[in-house]
Amino acid sequence: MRFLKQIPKLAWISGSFVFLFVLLTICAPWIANNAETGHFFPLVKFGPETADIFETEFLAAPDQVHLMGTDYVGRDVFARLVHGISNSLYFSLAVVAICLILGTIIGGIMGFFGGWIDLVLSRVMEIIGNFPIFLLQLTLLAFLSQGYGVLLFVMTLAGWIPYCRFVRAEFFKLRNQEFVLAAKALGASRTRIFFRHLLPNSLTPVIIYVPFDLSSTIISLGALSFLGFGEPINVASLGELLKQAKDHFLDAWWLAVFPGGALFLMTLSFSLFGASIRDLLDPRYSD
Amino acid sequence: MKAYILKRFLLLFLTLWGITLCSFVMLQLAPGSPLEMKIQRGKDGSLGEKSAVSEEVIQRLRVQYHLDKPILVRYGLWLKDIARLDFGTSFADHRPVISKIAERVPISLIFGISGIIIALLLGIPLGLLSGAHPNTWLDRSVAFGSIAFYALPSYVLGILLLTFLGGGEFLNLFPIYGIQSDAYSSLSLVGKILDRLHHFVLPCICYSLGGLAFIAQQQRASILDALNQDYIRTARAKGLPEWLVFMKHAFRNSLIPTVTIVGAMLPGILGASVIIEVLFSIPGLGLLSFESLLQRDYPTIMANFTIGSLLSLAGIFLSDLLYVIVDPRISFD
Repeated sequence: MRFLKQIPKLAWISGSFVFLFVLLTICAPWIANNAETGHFFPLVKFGPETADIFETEFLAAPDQVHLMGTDYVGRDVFARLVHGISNSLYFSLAVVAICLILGTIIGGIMGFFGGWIDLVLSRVMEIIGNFPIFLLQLTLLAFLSQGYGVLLFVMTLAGWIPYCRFVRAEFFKLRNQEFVLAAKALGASRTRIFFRHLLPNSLTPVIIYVPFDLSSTIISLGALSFLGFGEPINVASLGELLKQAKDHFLDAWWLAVFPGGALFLMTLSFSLFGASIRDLLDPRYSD
Repeated sequence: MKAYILKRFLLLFLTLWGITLCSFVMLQLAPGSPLEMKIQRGKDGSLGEKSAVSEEVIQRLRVQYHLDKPILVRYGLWLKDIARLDFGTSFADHRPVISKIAERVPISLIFGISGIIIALLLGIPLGLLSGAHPNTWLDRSVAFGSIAFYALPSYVLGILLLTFLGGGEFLNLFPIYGIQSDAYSSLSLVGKILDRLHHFVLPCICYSLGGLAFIAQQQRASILDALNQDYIRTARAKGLPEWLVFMKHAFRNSLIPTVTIVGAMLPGILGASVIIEVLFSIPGLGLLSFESLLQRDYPTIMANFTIGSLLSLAGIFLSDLLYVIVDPRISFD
């Protein structure tokens, strides 16, 4: 992706979209809410869970009252979309953060100690990595109760593996280099070598991977809710709106177009932002 | 070479064994034992109220399904059956699981493999084109397009295709479900083929798009890498025309990494097939997995896990093997 360096515009554009989505996520309660709080805020006077009692028709097409129409029980699609984006992003951030920490710790331990610890954990990684992971996620969600706890568990189950691979490889590469040997010779403790010398120097691939991982976490979270196994029932989410779109695609185009477009824009801007960051941080990708 | 293949093969079975053990224990520990599920069903497999089955019958069923034995013994018995390709009978319709799967696998494989082939046929030329003209507008739009397609989830694409091309308020160009029309059996041979193709288009677009982006990116990187090699300079220096340098020396070598990632795409078929087959109501392996989950059909779920992980391991094995076969410089001895 050498070309990206020549158009730093792209980094700015994708970065501002990312910023916009983060802003939307934080400000969702002020954008769409049915609580009577002020004259100006919330901008749209519908909450994600309230049906419009004046709307006699479910699945109403977009008009001036409902900017993006209503869903199959008469809830405002715009409100559900805003809160859906917000929920998806909050949750995906939590998933990515846990995977990152878990993967970095395990990968660090594997790379630092090597030997049988590395061997055993490698087998574990291979088994989890070769599981038909989407099927496993669906099965666990179908058999356990539907809730955020189970969902978090299911989504982090295999998500830490890429981080673990990155950190492990970096540790293996670094641990026999001169600066580490010098630190050892100077009598630095194992903890100091681990945290001060090895860990900070192995985080570049991890940081580069975060935006891409965020994008794919949003996609797989959407896929789970699309099949009806995602967030708890009635919680607004992008996947849930798209599930409705699947059930009503013959007569409600707004259910497909707006949530689908929002989801695509979100994953696209995170991926492009990730590609721009990668070009800045990783010398292998620039001239 | 032989020793390497043998070693990989043994490791593959070890991993497969680990996966089946994990999924077996997981399914057995899941709330709602298989026996309870079975007793609650009528003869037609429907879920009903808890039937008044006597303790004695339950005990007999327990023995019949080996539920009185410890979990590891049950796993051993399951393995023994698997060795004879016996996945048990489905709880949902009392048919042998293996025959249910056997009729579903070809459908999913046809979609998955043709998706990969289309991705290769379009992705390699696109990658070559942008690699041959680096840093032009063509290169940039291919690179941007591949990131965009990679970020576009198959279910979003599928929903949009259905909404705009599947009737409703917009164009009515393609059928919206299944793999054949209702009047399929009355059609002529040509009509049958056309009908199948007609049903084939939309799901296949969904299958191939992500892979297309992946392959185009890979091919661009590898042709650029190949063009920087010393033997290309040699070929140019000895006066070969540029197209011959490109096609014969650079292109052929640049195919190596691209070919090997095809194996890595194989396991993705199953995951993608669940979403796409549910969306388009295609009676393949993905829809079967989805239905068996909703019906809590344990033997079928277990079989799906086994086949899914086998597919994933076979993909990795295949891509390692291709790597060695395609590139004579690499050996694992």
